[in-house]
Amino acid sequence: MNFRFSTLSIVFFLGIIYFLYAGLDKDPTLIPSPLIGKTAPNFKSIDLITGESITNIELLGKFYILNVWASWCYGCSIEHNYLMNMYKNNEIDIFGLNYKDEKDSAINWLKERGNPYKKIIVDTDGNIAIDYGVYGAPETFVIDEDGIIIYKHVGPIDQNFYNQIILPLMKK
Amino acid sequence: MKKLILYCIAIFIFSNNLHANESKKYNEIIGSLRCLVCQNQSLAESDSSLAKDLRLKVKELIRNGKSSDEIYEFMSERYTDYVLYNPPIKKSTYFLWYGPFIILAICLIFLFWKYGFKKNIYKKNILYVKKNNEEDIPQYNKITNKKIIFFLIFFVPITSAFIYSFSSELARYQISHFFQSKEPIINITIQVHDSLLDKIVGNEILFVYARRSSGMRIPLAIDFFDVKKQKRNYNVKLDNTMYMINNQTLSSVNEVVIEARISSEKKAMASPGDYIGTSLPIVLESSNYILLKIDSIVTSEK
Repeated sequence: MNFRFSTLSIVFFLGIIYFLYAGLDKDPTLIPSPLIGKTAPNFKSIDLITGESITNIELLGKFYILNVWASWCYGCSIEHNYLMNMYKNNEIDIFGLNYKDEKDSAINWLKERGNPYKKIIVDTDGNIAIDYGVYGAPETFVIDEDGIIIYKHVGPIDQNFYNQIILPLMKK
Repeated sequence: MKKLILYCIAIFIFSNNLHANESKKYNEIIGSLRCLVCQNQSLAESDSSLAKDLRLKVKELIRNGKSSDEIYEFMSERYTDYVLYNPPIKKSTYFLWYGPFIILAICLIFLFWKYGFKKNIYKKNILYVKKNNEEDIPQYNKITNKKIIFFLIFFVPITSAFIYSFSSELARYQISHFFQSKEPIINITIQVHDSLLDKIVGNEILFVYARRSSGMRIPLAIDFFDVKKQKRNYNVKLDNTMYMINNQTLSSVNEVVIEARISSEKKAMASPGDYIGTSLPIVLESSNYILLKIDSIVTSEK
């Protein structure tokens, strides 16, 4: 009895310690998207460059990534070189969602750094972003031919993201 | 025309404000939704731009006649149940809701089980004692207590230290901050300007002190050092123990100016010919670091 009591309490204690320890390595700022496996939300907006109207129906039929960016966003300038690489190598269609930005500064930003986006959806008041569950630019959604969101990445993307996430998803 | 303007104003006011019962609902909802950017604040408290947008969204949804449940659903569809301060009861949250009660039940059962056994042991002990003519009956209890104390004294700190040493940088930082006293420490690296370096003979004294950014100039913390020839950098630490007057310490202010002065006359007051460097006002945190350059010469008595 005596032996059992101490063993049990040690096991119980270690169990708690394990859970607390496991929690330490988790990033509490990462929130899993509930939209994965669901159809990408509808939107209706205009293109940043051409000013033509654009809806989610026009994006259907192709495997693409939707990159949420803004000219005020620091992480976006980090990942931008990589996006340009992807664009030059013609690896995948990239669509942009210009999140809570001013038209002029967004266009200037692209002029300085190059424009990797096939089309850029303007989202001045952030309403489209709310529908997509965006909580901090840059965010990148991987969307398949049927318009279903299959992956969401928060933070700047890089070559690893392409090799480890997008490539395997495209092959499926 | 006047009527039209008034009408427009009225529309503007009413379209932007909610009715009394609506605004009660609004406050309730934004108070129980988590801000995703600053995670320990609700939407009501947070000042992040996303929180502002989401507050507007909630307002819009209320105005469109949506019920509270519909709004919560709207948010959790986009941002998972994580946004809700009151997570719904479902399979993945069973443990969250019922776990504490289960643990309580287990503890109660365990205690009952333990005391149930104890009666028997007590009887056995009595028999044992009677046989051996010993009178110290509750030996058993003492041993258990000792073991528990041993466990608490040795096992807990060792395990904590073990986890601490393996935990991530961030966690370690947070833990150390949690235990650290809130007394401010200022680490200063003092750099003597090259042009002044040659003028230093080696018998001067370097005074380093923190004073209020405005008001009384009396140092809140002061330290001094012998100056060495051709030595460019000095690392100095100022804290609460280095006060000059009681109750006038670093803790008693929010903002200080750091000054470093090389004096050949070994005087506490600045005199012409001293080399001096003054920092911009810094807001004190529990740990501060600044780089201070000594780059000017005192020309007149202050």
